[in-house]
Order: sequence, then structure tokens, then C-alpha cells
Amino acid sequence: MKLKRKLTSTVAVAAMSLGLVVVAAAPSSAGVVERLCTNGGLVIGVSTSRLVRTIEDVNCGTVYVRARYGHVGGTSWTSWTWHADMVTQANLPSVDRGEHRATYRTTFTSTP
Amino acid sequence: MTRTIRAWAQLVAGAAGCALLISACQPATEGTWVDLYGADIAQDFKNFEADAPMSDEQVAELADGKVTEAEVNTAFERYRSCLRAEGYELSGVHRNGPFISFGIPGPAVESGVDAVCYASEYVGVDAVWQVLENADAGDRRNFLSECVQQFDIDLTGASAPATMEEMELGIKEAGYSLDDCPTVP
Repeated sequence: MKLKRKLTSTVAVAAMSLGLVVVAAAPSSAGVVERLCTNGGLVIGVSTSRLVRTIEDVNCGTVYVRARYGHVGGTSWTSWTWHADMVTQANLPSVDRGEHRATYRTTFTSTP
Repeated sequence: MTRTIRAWAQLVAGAAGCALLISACQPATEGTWVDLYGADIAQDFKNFEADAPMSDEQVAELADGKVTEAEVNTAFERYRSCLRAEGYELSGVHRNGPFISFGIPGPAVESGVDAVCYASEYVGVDAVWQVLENADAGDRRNFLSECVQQFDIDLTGASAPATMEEMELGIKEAGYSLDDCPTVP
């Protein structure tokens, strides 16, 4: 129940940050990608031009996120940030790709 | 404690096996990591083995069931040296509370070099440090990130991603209290 409440709130925050109306079970929108985990869980990846986020529903294990961003010299990636159930990187410059991963889900990408 | 001693004994036995049969060296078993760090982190270690096996140094750092800041620094420097040896230099290396943040050149990731260096030298230490040893700091990092996003706070001039200190200062300078921030997670 706690996790569900957290997910609902988190998705709402993600939705607000994207200016979208997102329901967890709805098809993915631009910037929001849902993927099933190998043991039946669900993981959500979010990216905007300034933020990337990975949210675990249940049963996906630890989650990680990083972002690719553009700059004068080309592109760079942020370092992996890990957390037990949700992780965000904020104040990023010109994100063009978010990379998301979980213990029971191989890497997937989102685009703002 | 007993679990740690058993895991350490398994590791020592494994190391002895390595000495006798180098080609079949498996310095730590999956079961060892489960005992030390739990099933999820052990599975994370296994996942990253697809990129490269952990170096002996990293295995040694993890073998006692905990990670110290000194070990994090050492493992990070090995990772950085590994990239440097292939011609890639990390940028913007800085502290974010107990964590290390940095930028990785795009070509280092796209060539696969970063994946190999990270898996070999740093991933296990980094994971344990972020997820287990500093779970509270990770919670706070999330809390502040959500708050900055929620209030669309301008952090011009801050690091990318912003550090916890920069986010907290930005929130206060924008006229908010941390009590105003959303309480998720």
C-alpha cells in the first residue's frame, strides 16, 4: 500500500513536471516509458529536458538512472545514480536521453 | 555477524581455489554476495558481469560486507584511470553529500569502454555505497530533487545534476521552506 501510494504520488509529480496527465496503467506518453520487470513488477522511466527519473512499482529491485546531455564540446552522460525504489537527477542541461535500469529489468531509454 | 564470517570464509576458500587454478578463478560466488548484501544487490552484481568481471581489488573491497568512503574513493580512482587509459577523461567531478558525481564523455559510453571500466572497478562499491550505506542521503537527494522540480526552482550556475547543498540553498533562496516540499517518496 505504501509503495502504491508513493507510486501514484510520484507519477503525479512526474506528470506535473511534464505538463501531462498520466495514469500509471495508461499507454506510455512522450517522456514517460513503462517496462515490465522479469519477475512481474513494473518500472517507469521519465525524462524531460532538465530531469531524468526511474521509479520502481514493485518487484523490480534497485533502480538506477542516468542522462545524456548536450554541451558545446559534444555529449556527456551523468554518472549512474542508484536507489532502492526511486531516483531522480534534477537541474540537468539539455537532456536528450534518459537511461533507466533496475535489478530485474535491463536498460531501457526514454526521450524528453 | 555469523553470516559475514561464513561469507568471508567462502571468499577465502574461493581465493585459495584461484591460487591453485587461476584459469577457473571465481573470486566470489553469487551466494556470497547474497549473504553479504541481499538478493537484489547480488543480482545487480551479476547483471554487470555481462560487461566485465569485477577486478580483484573491487572484490576485496566488497568482501567484508561493508564499504567505506576510503574504498569508494579508491574504486572511483581506478575507474577513472581505466577510462583515462583508453583516452577518456571524466568531467565535473564533484562531491554531492557522500556521493561522487561526474560527467562521462559520450564516446566513452557509446564505445562500451565506460561499461567495462564501471563494471570492473566501481559498480559494486558504488551500488553498496549509494543504496545500502547511504540510504538516508539517497532519500534526501530524492526529496530535494522533487522539491526543486515541483517549484520549478532556477538553479542556474549549479552543478548538473544539482548537489543536495545547491538544491537546499536554491529552495530557500526562492522563498520556500523545506516544509513546503512534497513528501514523496
